[in-house]
Amino acid sequence: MKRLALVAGAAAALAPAAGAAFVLLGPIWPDGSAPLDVGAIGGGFRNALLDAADAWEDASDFEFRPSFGGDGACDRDAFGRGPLEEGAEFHDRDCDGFALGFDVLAVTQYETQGGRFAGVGLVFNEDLDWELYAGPWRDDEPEFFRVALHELGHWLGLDHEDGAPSIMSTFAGDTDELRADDVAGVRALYGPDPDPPPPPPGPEPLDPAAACRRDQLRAAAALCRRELACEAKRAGAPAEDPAGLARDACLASAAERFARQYGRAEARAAEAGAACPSSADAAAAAALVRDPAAALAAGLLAGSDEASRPDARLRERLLRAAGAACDAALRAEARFVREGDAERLAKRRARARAGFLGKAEAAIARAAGAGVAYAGTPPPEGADLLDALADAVAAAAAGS
Amino acid sequence: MGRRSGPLVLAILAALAGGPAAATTLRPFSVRELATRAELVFEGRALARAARALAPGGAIRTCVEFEVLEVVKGPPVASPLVLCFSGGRVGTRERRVHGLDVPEPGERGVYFVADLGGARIHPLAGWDQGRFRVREGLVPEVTTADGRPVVGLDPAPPPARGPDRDGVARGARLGSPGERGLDPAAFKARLRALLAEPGP
Repeated sequence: MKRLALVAGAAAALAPAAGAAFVLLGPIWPDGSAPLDVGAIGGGFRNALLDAADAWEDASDFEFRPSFGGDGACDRDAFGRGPLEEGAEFHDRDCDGFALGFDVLAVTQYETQGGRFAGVGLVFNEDLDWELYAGPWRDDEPEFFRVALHELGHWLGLDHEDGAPSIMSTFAGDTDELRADDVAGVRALYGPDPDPPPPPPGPEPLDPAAACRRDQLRAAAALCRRELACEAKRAGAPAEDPAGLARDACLASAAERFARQYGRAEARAAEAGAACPSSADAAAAAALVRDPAAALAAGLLAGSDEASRPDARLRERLLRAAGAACDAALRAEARFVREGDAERLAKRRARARAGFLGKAEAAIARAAGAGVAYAGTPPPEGADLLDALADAVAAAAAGS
Repeated sequence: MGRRSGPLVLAILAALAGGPAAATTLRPFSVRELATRAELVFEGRALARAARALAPGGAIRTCVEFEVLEVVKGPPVASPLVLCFSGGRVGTRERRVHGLDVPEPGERGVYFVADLGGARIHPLAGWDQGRFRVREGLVPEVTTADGRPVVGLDPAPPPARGPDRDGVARGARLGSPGERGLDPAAFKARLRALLAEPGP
């Protein structure tokens, strides 16, 4: 039976249904489901990635099996290369170690075996100013949800489609939902959803001051993630950056981007005749993130042995886990601005903390198996630092 | 049926074959942005290409040697210039990167190289957006990477996009069917003028 589905998939690659323009990669998931680990993606972006998975599921009889414990797209070695791990992550290199550059938003890499997917990994370019928004595409602020939707299309087996309106276009743009051709493509592979859900109601627009507060919190989330990613990159390959110059440049670039985003939020509010409620200017707000993030990084790196590959890998994992948790906590605060639901905020914050603790403890245990005795900041103390950072930033953004 | 079964069998066999691959989403750019970001813009001709595995069983790169005909922007570079792309075939192993089209030997064009020192997935800024081919003939003309004539370069293009614009940097004005593209000298002159204008 599975063999039949496989051959049908291959034949469809040659001849899509009449009237449809979608293109198929070739490999499929013969049982109509696939793993998807989102553990390395923080907060709002994780939710957006899961929303994108839902959209594909709603359009077809396909099911993603999300999990939350993995390290990301691949298990990287000192050169940034590694086997695919059915997960997603932010990074500046693909799983072969090649730089994504300024022009690639994301890459989905996959292995095939006998016409079926045998391994998948999804990398979002961490050097970009990712955002979540509806409406026209902004070149300087790539929108995460629609790119996730596109990449999960590859994950399912769809190739680029540049001949018809489609989320599978090679180039990101204004399309931010599945189009008829995408639905036809996924249904050709896996059949229609037997029980489609009703469409959700659209959100109310935010008032300009609240929108500014939300946008500044998002900027802080990105700053925290980037700063810890800069530290992680050096920690994972210290020999490539012995004096830390590349890390310092990375930190400076993160700070510049934050200042730009923070200022843009203020400018948008001003254009609408409103003032942002924040009690901190851009420099003070950046310090609220930078100082505790630097302290946490120093703590997680304490006692490290740069000559030991397992130790370097451990420190990189800890710092990336901290970055993802910090991003998740601050994006939870940003979502709270719109939703006003304290219970959901508390749940999201707790999930961010638990995500860090789980990943950090797993990484420490794995490194212990390779003979690394970790003597840096204990994970619960690291989680406390992250919580304090998020509390301080949220309070400042609210004007207190 | 007999005439169609050959390709069908090949397609099925291709789908059954194992191997690594990758698919990306790219950012759209204007010609001006790409030219500004590129470390080197040159007119050249592809002389040869070869694929190699970086390690046994590891990633594959396809490297192309270009004869450098003229540098439009950037430092003087030795000719031939070698640019390497992710993916390729070595023996029976193939690594595919969807949307990545490696120039064939003989191709002439104006190429926007993102970074001369970096090991990127694709060496050109914006991938095919930074690749303008020159169609040879009695009067050579500049086309997009997929062969549509480029009749002008706009310094401040509108943000409009759509499937018909995919793969083409904004600001590259496309000709209607039958219209001739700019000749390479005019294209390069407009590119230099674009680069000389003050930024927005």
